[in-house]
Amino acid sequence: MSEDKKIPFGKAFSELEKIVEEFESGKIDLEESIGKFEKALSLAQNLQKRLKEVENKVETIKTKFKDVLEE
Amino acid sequence: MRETGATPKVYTVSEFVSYIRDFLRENVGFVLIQGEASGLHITQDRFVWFELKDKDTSVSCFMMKWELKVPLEDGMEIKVLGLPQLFQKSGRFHIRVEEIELVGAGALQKAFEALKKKLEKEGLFAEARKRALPRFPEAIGLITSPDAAAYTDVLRILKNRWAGLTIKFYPVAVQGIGSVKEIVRAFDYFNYSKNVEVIILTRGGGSLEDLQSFNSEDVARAIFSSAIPVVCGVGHERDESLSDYVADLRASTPSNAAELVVPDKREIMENIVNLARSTHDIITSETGKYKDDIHEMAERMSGRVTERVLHGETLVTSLINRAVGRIEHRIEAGKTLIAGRITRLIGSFERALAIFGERITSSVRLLKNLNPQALLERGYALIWNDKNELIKSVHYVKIDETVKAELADGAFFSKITRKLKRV
Repeated sequence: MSEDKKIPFGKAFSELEKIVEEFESGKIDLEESIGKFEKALSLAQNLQKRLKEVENKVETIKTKFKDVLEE
Repeated sequence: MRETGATPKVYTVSEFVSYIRDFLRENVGFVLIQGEASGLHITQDRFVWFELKDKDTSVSCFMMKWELKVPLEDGMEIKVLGLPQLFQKSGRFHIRVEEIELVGAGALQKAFEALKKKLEKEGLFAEARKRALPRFPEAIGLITSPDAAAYTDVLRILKNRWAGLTIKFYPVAVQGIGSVKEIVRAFDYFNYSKNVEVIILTRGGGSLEDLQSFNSEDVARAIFSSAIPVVCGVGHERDESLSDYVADLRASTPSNAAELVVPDKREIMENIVNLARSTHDIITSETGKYKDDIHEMAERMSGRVTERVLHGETLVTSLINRAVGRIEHRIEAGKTLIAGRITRLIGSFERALAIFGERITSSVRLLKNLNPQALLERGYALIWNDKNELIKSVHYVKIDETVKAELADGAFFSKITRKLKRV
């Protein structure tokens, strides 16, 4: 879980999108594309794994000052 | 309720006033009083004074001008939060007002419209200042009441739609006296700690009175000055608040606020699969293309190589054969050539010899013919003078000279008597 947190979801997703864009533009050479393809697959896997996390974590902020009206 | 027999305590006036102030603070504390405002006036542009009354009585109220957040007018029904107090100097009883809430749709609507106009004029609702929300937030600040349905709605939707979020929940009262301060404090907290990427401010639906804090100037300004983008969702779809207008994104309901903040993981999952598939398809087709190319090239190359090898073999063989043949041929030819030459040489030598022989024979014959003796034998004679010189011309002899005439079988002397010259 901490490993997944190293790469923010948004950053990884954008990276994946960028690779696909490059691929679709056809401006990528074969040698480079194989490495990028591997990268894309690992990104996709990480993103999927991350989405399979079930729980959201809820932290309640403890306010230092109790409001005057709170009983 | 004095104790019998005890001497009552004598206070100075100051002591008494202090005593009552302390007593009120400790034993009564903050109170909420509803009544009608009257006699409103402001002194030194700092102090706000008014009476809170009902049909039977009234109580004096005092507050600082900067604490007055609503457009207060005489005759308005209001709720006042304050501490009962005595002024230290005059000893007059009053309510030290902390906060005022308007009561009644009319007053609230009026206050709402006035503030809306003011904030709009200031540009708090301007579209241009609205910021984009992060596409995939990791941490979300949630400002709402823990008791409200809105809270559970938001958490449920967030859980359904997205995963691995950190939700920082800042519990506040969403209505009533004190709620404005709590909400403002929540914004202060998130903007100070900067631990979330987006803030959801939400509550259920309600009357204009319930929504007062969401229509307050302080909350509106807190949203406006938040460095973190804010999504505001209030109650039902028809409910509107000034907080909605100021927020970067307005949600129709608390659930909708949650929907706007995170994408749907099913959609994104599908997206990821499509993206991965797309790279796979492209690379497959690309490498396929290359593969075909390579395959074709390889085939062509191998074909050519084979061809070459075969061709080379024959070539070499034929070269060798030819070379060998040629050498043999040469040798043969050389042999014949030499033999021929030798033969020719011998022939020519023989011919030369023959010719030479003939020549010798004819020379011999010629020489034989040239022999003067032979001539003499054929009747010719040689004429010599007395000095033994061969006379070849008539001029070489004189009349009366005696010459020797040599013939084949002897000689004789004769005397020149006459000379004739051939003409």
